[in-house]
Amino acid sequence: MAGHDINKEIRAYWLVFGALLVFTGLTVGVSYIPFVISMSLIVGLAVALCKGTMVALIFMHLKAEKRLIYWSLFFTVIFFFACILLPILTEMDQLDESPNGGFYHGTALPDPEDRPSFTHYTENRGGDH
Amino acid sequence: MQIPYAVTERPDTGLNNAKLGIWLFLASEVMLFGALFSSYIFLRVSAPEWEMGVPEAAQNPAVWPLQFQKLKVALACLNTVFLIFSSVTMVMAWAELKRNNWAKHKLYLGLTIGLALAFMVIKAIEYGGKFSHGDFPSTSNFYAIYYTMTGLHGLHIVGGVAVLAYLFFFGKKMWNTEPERFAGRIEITGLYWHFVDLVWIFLFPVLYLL
Repeated sequence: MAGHDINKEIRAYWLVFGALLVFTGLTVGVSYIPFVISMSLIVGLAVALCKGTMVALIFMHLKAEKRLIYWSLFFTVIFFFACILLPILTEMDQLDESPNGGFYHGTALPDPEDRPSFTHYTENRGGDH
Repeated sequence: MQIPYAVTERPDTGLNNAKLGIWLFLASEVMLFGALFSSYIFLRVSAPEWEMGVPEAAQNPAVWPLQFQKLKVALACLNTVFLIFSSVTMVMAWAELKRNNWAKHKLYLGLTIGLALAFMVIKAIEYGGKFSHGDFPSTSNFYAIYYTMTGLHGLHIVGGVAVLAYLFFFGKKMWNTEPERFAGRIEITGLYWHFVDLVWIFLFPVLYLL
């Protein structure tokens, strides 16, 4: 890499460092705003995603990497999101209140009155202290 | 024996083997932490309190606590700054090699190791505080996943420090004989180190703030 290029890169590294510090402050600050929980999750993870993108593109040099790396990461990202979505979709299916909702269309869910209560959880804790 | 394509690029991949190897390793690491994030989501969205809002649920180990009441955000915030700073010193250690400046390279590499050790000291203080309050992995689902995720991340830091220390103390010989190969090693180690930083960037809000 030519001297001029590396000097430009170094400036970018320190700029990203500053941006990461600002975003960290933002993440902490936003967490104290009384959003509803879903909004807090979206904002918190969006800021983390911005920080992660900066680290990957600039520090890990992904902004100018070979195609093979992009392809291997593309498949990794797909499997990662599948892994993340699996428990969410499972939970959505269980929580669906509609009689024919969830993935198993046509299968009637139990009446809300018959669904497990808090006592159900505490009585079924087995050997927990 | 000369290892082929340790520095030069393979014609078929366009990459040297070390770089391709570390990226494939990091892809497997994404899935390792992905599985833990997935477990975290599963435990959190199925926590009884969320669905029912029953006050007695606080006694249930499956119930999710309010994290900002359980964990020390200030310590985690300090650790975030340490790791971000260590990421920039790591990449600067590589950049100084590209500028042929060994002394500054050593300075930045030493700073990276120091910051990593500072991170571990803060983590030890945090763990010590939790243990003294009787909060162990067996205490609740939250603490189980908290210790698993931060513990695994901490092990990655320890592994990274071991490699960085080796390069710091024994790197000069290779730099004198094979400078390109040594710069490649620093770059590869840096990719791993930035990944460890990247994982923490997500762990911090997920465990401490949200």
